[in-house]
Amino acid sequence: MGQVTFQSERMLKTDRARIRLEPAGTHILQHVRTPTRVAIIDDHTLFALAINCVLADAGIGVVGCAGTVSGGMKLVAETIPDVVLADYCLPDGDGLSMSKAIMKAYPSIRVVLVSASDDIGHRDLLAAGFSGYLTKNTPLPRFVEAIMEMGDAGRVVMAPRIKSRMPRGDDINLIVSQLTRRERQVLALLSKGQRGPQIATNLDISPNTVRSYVQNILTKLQVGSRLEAVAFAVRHGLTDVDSLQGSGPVLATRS
Amino acid sequence: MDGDPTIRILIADPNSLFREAVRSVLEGETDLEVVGEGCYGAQAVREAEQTRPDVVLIDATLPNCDGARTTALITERVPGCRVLLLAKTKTMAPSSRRCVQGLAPT
Repeated sequence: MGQVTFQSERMLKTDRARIRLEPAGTHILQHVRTPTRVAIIDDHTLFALAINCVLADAGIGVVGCAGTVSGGMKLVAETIPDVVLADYCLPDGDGLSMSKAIMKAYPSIRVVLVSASDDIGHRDLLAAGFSGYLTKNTPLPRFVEAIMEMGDAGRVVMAPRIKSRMPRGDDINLIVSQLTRRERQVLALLSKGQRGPQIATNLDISPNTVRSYVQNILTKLQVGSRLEAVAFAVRHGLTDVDSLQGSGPVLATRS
Repeated sequence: MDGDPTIRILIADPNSLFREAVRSVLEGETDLEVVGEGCYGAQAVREAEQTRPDVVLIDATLPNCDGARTTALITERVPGCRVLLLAKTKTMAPSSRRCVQGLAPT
């Protein structure tokens, strides 16, 4: 994993540089609300670093990553984060016992169990004092949103057990009405087969802003990938780019 | 890569959160493009045949057809494609080691 870790660290630095270079008013600043400080305890280094980058991009501060129970306890003691993302399986112990120890020693810290499986009882976790349980198959936008919700409102977040991601009937109009004109444009261009850089050129915005719009679209449509968003657009007639051309500024909003 | 500076990448990992997070990070780089994803071995092989990526990131513990076998199939069916096997530990399973050495997995 040595080389992989190095690569990820390089990207982390790049990401930080990008955040510093972003002018005021762009998508990254839109996401910054009350700063939430997150600690990631997961032995899958690349996973932890990738999540670190994604959370940083959304304006959530990651105080550090640890890959073991002992390292995690040390990290928490040194940084006292707001939220701990704890992996269920760690090499020197189980995430469940570690999390309980953290919650006992630091009652103000909210702990979310992150697991590859979804067969852990929600009620048992809540009874044990956990603030959330997210699986490693949670759609990325939902994962980020869940962390934001915890930081902003102290909400309890749980892995959705979704049988069908695609909404039905009357829900469609409500969902479509949540999209801003800019997001409708991005969705329509995605459905034409355009990729991020092309969309950025077409709409004269930065690729990062396009990514932000795409993330908003995925969240609002309750889908897990660009492909599913495009399928939604095609199914519900949201592919007409020309009808969305209009004068005046297009403001990005976050629902 | 025929002069095209963009490196086309396929991500094969059982966890969608990992795939999406890595995709998000990689697509922040102008010279990297994620062309496909696979959550199990056979799907990764099929995706690789269809998308002809330059690089495939493969989790060593892929279900259905493990990382070593998936690597062997992709390098056989997509000549020139480079595979990066991702593992949690530094100790390599014998089948993975044979794969890295260019031998058929046992």
